[in-house]
Amino acid sequence: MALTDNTVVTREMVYEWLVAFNKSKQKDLRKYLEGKLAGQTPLVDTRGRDGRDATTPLIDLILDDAKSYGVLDGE
Amino acid sequence: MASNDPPAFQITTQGWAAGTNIREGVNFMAPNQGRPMENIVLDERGVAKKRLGCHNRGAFGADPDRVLSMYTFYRGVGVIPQVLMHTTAGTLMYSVNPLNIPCTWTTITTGLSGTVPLTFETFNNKVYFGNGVDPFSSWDGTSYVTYPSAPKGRYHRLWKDTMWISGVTGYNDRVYSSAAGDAETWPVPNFIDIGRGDGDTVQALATDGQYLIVGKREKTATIYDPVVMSNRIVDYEKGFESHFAVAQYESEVFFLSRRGICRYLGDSPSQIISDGIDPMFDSLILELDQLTMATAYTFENKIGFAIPERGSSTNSIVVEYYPRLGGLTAFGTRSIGPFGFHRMPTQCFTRWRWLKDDMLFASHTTANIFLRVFAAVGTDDGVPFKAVVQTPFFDMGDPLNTKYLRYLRLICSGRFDLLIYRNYDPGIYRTILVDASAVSDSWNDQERWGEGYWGRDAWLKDIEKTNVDAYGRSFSFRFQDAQETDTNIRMVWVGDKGNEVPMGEWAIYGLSADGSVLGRR
Repeated sequence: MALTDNTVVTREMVYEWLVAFNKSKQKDLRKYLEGKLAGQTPLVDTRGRDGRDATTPLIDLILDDAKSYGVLDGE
Repeated sequence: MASNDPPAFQITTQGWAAGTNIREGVNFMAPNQGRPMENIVLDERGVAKKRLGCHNRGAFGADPDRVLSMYTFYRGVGVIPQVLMHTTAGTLMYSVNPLNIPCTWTTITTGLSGTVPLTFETFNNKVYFGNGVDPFSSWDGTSYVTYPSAPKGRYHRLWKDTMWISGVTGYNDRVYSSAAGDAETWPVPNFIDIGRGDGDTVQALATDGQYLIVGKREKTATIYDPVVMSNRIVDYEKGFESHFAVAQYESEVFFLSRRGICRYLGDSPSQIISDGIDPMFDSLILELDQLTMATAYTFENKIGFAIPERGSSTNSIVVEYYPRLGGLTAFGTRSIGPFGFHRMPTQCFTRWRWLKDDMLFASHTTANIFLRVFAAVGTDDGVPFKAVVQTPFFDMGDPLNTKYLRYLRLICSGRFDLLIYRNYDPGIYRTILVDASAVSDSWNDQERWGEGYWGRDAWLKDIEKTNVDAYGRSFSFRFQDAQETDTNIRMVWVGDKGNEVPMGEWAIYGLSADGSVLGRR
């Protein structure tokens, strides 16, 4: 599915990406996810969240929470 | 002419409206407190009554199975609510009809964790659940669905039309939210860390309706904006011990913290309300390692917290609180109400209401048995239990002189023993059997008009005991039964109609005594 500016990226989508990800290339995860996001890397309003700037790139939030999906190696 | 008779005195007990007190020195207790107090209910202000028992509603699963968590799944008007039960066999079951004895159980799924309890929330006509080990799942009464991509968390709470999850392994501080109005869609950026990396761990999610309460073990925060997740710490030194030991009652949230039972106040640190039972919150008395499995219930006018004592792997003592017996302040808020204790074989609770029935169900601590709590029975699953309540010591305002106790009257019902203690001595000084259950001389067909009493036996009696013949500087009175297995009735007057309501075997309304001051002995 092609992403647009209005696409809400859900955990379901990221879960499928991570399942398909080659786990032996962990260092390439950011690049892989950026490819999946197809250039759609919006800034998320994180002003209410401690320790973050007023906005945070979506890709950073995905990477921060990637292990919670339980599908990456080493879990 | 002055009398040479020794000065006389009279005393009357002051009831137990203030509940149990294990904090004050024995000689500093208020006259309307009790110690010890166990298996006593205080629902009629000032009166101490033996509680009702636990009725066996049948077995579930196999003999070794125990319940990890229970939940009532309400499905709207006209549809019988299901009780969901997660057991140590890793099975999730639902009741066909809890009114049936024995209650029959149907399996929803197997292969779940047998140690980590599921937590549940109802939303969009489904119950959603998870435990941090098994996938987030739903049950609509007939279909079981899993959502592997959703956060796999231990704690679930519905707030602001959104499902919130915490307790994901490796993310001790993180709280996730679903899309608004949809617990099956989880936007990627919807999470926040509360006190990130502070070494503490989220132990519970709760809500007062206004805010999401994030209970870490040593502090409490609220999320007050569900969109940008704005949050603040509301209590920097009191947290939550168990997601299951949170109770909402009359617009207030009560919870178990390491320091005691707390009342959540929203904008200011939570208030500890269990001052009178403070000494029990000690690592030598409670099994701190098992407090995550402590549970709570709200039923009728009381809130109960089932807590494990030291050395116990199951909840062994129930702390019961009566919020509505706390007085009203000038501002219209409630002051702190009384506490009592129960020992019941109950681990997890769920309240179930359907048509004319409103019941509290529980799981047995040491058997695969489903129980109805406070049922009209006098035993706990067939096992007799004792109720006990004791007054403070009364010295009649004179701690020095010895007194002679001559005569007693009791307003009471049922059958129990009156034990008299004196001079703060823990040894029993006198034992008197009180039997107000014996049928008095009621009219029968062998008698004539004007002979004996007309009608049924009185449910409440004023009886006397002469020749008490007790000496001491101070006296305390303990009321307890020899594990009687009967039940009794109490009268609830609605207008001029007296409604007979089941209660435990006996009740003590008050004791009065008279005697004489003898002098220094």
